[in-house]
Amino acid sequence: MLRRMRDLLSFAAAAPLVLGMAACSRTPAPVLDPTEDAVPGLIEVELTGPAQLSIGKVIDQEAQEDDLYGDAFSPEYDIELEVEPGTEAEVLTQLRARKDVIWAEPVVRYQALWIPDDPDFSKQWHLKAAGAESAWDATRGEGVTVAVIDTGIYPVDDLEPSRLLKGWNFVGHNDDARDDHAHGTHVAGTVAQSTGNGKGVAGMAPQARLMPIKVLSAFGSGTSHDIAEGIRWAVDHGARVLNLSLGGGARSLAMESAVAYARRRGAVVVCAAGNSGSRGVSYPAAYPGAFAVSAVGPQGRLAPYSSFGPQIAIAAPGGDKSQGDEAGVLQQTLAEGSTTESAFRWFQGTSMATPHVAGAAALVMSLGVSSPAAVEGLLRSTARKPPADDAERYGAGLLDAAAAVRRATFGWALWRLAFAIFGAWFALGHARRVGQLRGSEKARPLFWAGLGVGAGALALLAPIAGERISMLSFLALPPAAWPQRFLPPLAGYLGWSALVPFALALPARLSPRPLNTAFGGLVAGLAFGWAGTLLHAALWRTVDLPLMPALLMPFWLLASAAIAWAAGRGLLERERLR
Amino acid sequence: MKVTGTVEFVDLEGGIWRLNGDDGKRYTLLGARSDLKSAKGARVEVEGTLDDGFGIAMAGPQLRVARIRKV
Repeated sequence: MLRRMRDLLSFAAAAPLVLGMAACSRTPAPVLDPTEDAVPGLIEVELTGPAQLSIGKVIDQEAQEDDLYGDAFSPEYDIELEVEPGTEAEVLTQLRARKDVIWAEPVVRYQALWIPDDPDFSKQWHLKAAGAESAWDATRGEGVTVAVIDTGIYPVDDLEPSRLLKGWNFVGHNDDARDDHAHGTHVAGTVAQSTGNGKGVAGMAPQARLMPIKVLSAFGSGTSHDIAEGIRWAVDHGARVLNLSLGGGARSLAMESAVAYARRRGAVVVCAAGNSGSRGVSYPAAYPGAFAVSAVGPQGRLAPYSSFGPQIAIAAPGGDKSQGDEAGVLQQTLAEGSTTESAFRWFQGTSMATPHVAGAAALVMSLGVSSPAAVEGLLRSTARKPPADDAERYGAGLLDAAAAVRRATFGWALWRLAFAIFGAWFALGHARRVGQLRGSEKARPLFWAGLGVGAGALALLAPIAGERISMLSFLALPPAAWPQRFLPPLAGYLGWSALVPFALALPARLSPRPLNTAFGGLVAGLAFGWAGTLLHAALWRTVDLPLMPALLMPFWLLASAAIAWAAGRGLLERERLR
Repeated sequence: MKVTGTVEFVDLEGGIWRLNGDDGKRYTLLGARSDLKSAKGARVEVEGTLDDGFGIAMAGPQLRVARIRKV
């Protein structure tokens, strides 16, 4: 693990040097040689023109521009070759000796930093297809509660007991929400199976908490009344993501209003599209406010059983066992016909696709995105292109949790930082005052450090947290989002307001020359960073606060951003007046 | 209500029993698992009640089985 990280870092450091040298001389050094990361039997060759290669089998070829290593005025020919595994080094030597070969290298697999050690993780093609692996480098769903509204959850041994909350059984009217069917436990496994515990399989958001809500009987059926009650109970008890891998053909007003209630209270309601194999999305997926999920098989094509229709928001892996058992979704659940024994079983259905999306929603929410609309927008806008341009079958496309997480950390951190720097530059006004800041040795590094922290720029570093992520996960979100993540919901106002920078600026102002003190510099930077974060949250509408009407939210954030900015500017101003 | 048709096991959602009714509808059958196992593939007459219709199957109406008879 450490070795891989070290390799990656040294590669990152060496890459510009290598590329730079190569670009100057136009004779590329053999950068890559077969190593343990190389894909056995695959070689990529770039040729000056089309040529017959007598070695191996051509898998893929295309003409493409390579101005870096090739001729700047004509296209080169890129060929992927399949050769006998074990002969790669020999073939590479032969190829590199040819005059018309610009370069030849082994095809190397790039891996996420953290690969869980669960022995059967390699069989879970569906988690990889949903982009779980790379997403785990930045978050594992810490601090988010996902309610599984289903047949209950049985505490199987590959579910961490401390993450299994107390739920409610609406069928038996008691607090024993254990599964007596196998469906709910399988679904819960896809959301948050214990991952990296050296046992069994993995789940999408392994650090998220699971809330079992039993609304379906041992036969897997239930009433609209119980389901509606279950939705409300889950939201009232802190669930931020609801997984509804159930449905029916009848429209229930009780359930429809429960979905609207959940959404209004800040929960994402993820629902299965249905298994009719035809046009017509089942309820609750078809209600406004629900996030409807269709199912795809390993090739990313709609599974034959999946329902579809205009309400579909996104497609996710639900398995397609017409291609064999192992094309299903693998999780631990109750053994067939048992209510106590567990087993690892391959299931298929839109019910299996739904928890992949619920898990991805939990990953995104743990990054401080608290508005359900923003979570849904992020998942939709980062979805991969489906095999056919067909919104009724695939909605926005194929779920890609890694892309969603990357945007919410890396992409958004850059925006926050840009806003913060622009705000600081605007406040500094003109060169003379910039010069003043340059002049105050003590404050300068702390000013920029404060600005970076306030803008949540540490999220840029989140992926290198690797295995230590559980401890360091708060780094992936700006400090404005910390209270909402770690304290009760109302504490969200502490972060998503100008309170902290304003309160810190008051004592900093006591100093006659705030920027000449370490504290003053830090607070001034922090205030600008905080303002950048608030501005980003206002424009991207990433935040929901309890009791705050959705329409007022952006205005609240904009006003808070202005106050935070003014707090920073006040310190600069005081410095100038001296 | 009574429906005649053939019993089928469908590998969906961990396994559901379905009656392909002569009326052209596909019913998800609830209950009487052991009777259904022995009736797999056979033509049957099922007596039961249609329920609210919410569940894991999400593929047509749900019929709660009271009695099942091979025809």
